[in-house]
Amino acid sequence: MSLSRFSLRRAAAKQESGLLAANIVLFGVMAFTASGFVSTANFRSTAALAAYTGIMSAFATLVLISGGLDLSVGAVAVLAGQACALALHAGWSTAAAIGAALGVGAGVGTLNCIFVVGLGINPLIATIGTAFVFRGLGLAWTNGSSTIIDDQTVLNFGSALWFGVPEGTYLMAAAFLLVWLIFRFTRLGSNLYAVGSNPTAARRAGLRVWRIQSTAYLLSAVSAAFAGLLLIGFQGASIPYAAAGIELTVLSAVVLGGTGLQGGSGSVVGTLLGVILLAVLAAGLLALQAPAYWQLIATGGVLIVAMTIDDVRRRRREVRG
Amino acid sequence: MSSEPILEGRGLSKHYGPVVALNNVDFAVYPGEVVALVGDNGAGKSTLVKILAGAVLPDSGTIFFSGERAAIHNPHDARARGIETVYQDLALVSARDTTANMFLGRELVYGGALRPLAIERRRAMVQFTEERLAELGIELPDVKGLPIDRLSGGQRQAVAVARATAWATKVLFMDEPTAALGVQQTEAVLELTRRVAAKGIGVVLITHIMPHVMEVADRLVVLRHGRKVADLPSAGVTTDDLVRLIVGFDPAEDHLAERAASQPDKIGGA
Repeated sequence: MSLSRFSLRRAAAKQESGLLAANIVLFGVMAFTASGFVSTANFRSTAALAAYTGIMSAFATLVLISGGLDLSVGAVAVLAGQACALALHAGWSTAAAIGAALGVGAGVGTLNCIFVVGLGINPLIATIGTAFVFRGLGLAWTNGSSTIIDDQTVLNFGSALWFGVPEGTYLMAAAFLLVWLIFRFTRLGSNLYAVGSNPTAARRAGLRVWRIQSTAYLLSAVSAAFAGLLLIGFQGASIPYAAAGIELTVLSAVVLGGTGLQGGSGSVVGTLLGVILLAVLAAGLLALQAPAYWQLIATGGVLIVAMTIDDVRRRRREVRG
Repeated sequence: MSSEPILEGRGLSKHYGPVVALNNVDFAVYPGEVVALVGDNGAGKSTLVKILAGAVLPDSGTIFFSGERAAIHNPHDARARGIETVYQDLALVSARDTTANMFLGRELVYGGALRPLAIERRRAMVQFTEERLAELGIELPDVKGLPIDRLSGGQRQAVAVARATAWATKVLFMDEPTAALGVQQTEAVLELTRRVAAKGIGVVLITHIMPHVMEVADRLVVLRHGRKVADLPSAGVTTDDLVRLIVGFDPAEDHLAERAASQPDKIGGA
């Protein structure tokens, strides 16, 4: 009986092991072709960068599995960072400033819930809409200018080292662990899968679908706000134009990791591997001193590959089912 | 078999605008029996079941449960009384395993200090699921870990029935359970129906497939254009009789009866 237990893992595992292999191959290629790739400095900056994308990706997995989609995470991260920076600038305590940032996350998350869960607007459109609005608001609020951070706690999020590893990496690991635990052990995890896979069945079984979907969007937004803190910590300042298009990187990592766009299936471990792949790619390009536009091309390429794999898998499943 | 109906509707009527879906229908379900609810499209079968299962409110009529007037105004009222329905679309979550589907909406969680975290008691749920399946003689490759979209149509039907039976302690409605199944799977589901009834649960089978009706039903109730036209034990009833009741040939109309007698294949037929 325990042998067939792995058949659930089989489909997911295939994607994951493929991803792991891709990671190893890419790492190898980069190590050979790019001098300076295998260096502590490179690893540290990559890890710090990957951390805030990673945190958003972990919770994006949660949203996607529940059948939703949140493309406002980049805007939320930046806006939350701005809130924190401005609060610190205005003399607020570290804790209060961080609270302000998370509050922004909760606020945007609530708005997303109202639009998507309450009004039934397509999440793709609704969250892109909120993303644009809040990016604009952030620009208006700060007049397009950056605000320097000199609070040590926040700066530490981005660049402190604990036993040689950036603080952000630990925080990212914690985020992934949390999401993994939710799906592995809790009723919320089961309900998220159910709602994403068959909302009608979930509703008939007595699940409060709106509440479960809202939880996903709120968690996504608040975690994005937290990621925003890592971003400003790393940058040393809140920069209104930062992280443009980060939501697509996040989406790439999640879909590459085996979580379907349709919802109802997915793997947190896969997302982690996806995040690592994208980070290795970014680090490699940096070490190769490739022009900045290669980042765009690479990210776009990965997104296309990820979506194609997802589409193929979905069609195979439909044929079989 | 008990002589007291476990669930009964008297004088149930329902109309949607000018369309009369149900017209003063009496319907009773007895514990341990399989009653087939048959009729052509639009006869009112689904409406009747939905009223008794709490999904629809009747315009008039009363529902009795265990002999007493019952207020069944929504599906929760019905489910609280041990009345469950297996709909045609099965309402299963294909990405999850059998255990998860069995406990959909009713997951067991650890209480006490851990309650707010809602941590699932997987082992208890798996054990419960295995017991329920064993009781009904259902064999599945794996109850934990295998997503049910990897099961055959008949196995998925079995899971849906097992789930409804696990929670349906009194009445089980099944809407067209064999419609999309092959021969072997149909046999399995019908056998399952008998086993469920053997547990003392009243089973109501909506179906339009005559042979299946004749195979499992103890009693037949025929609806036509929203009215009940027949309510009789299945013993001795032929398929032809049944079809005639469904379609509405009046035996008093001699020329029709003659034609019917000489060309049996022309009368509807499964």
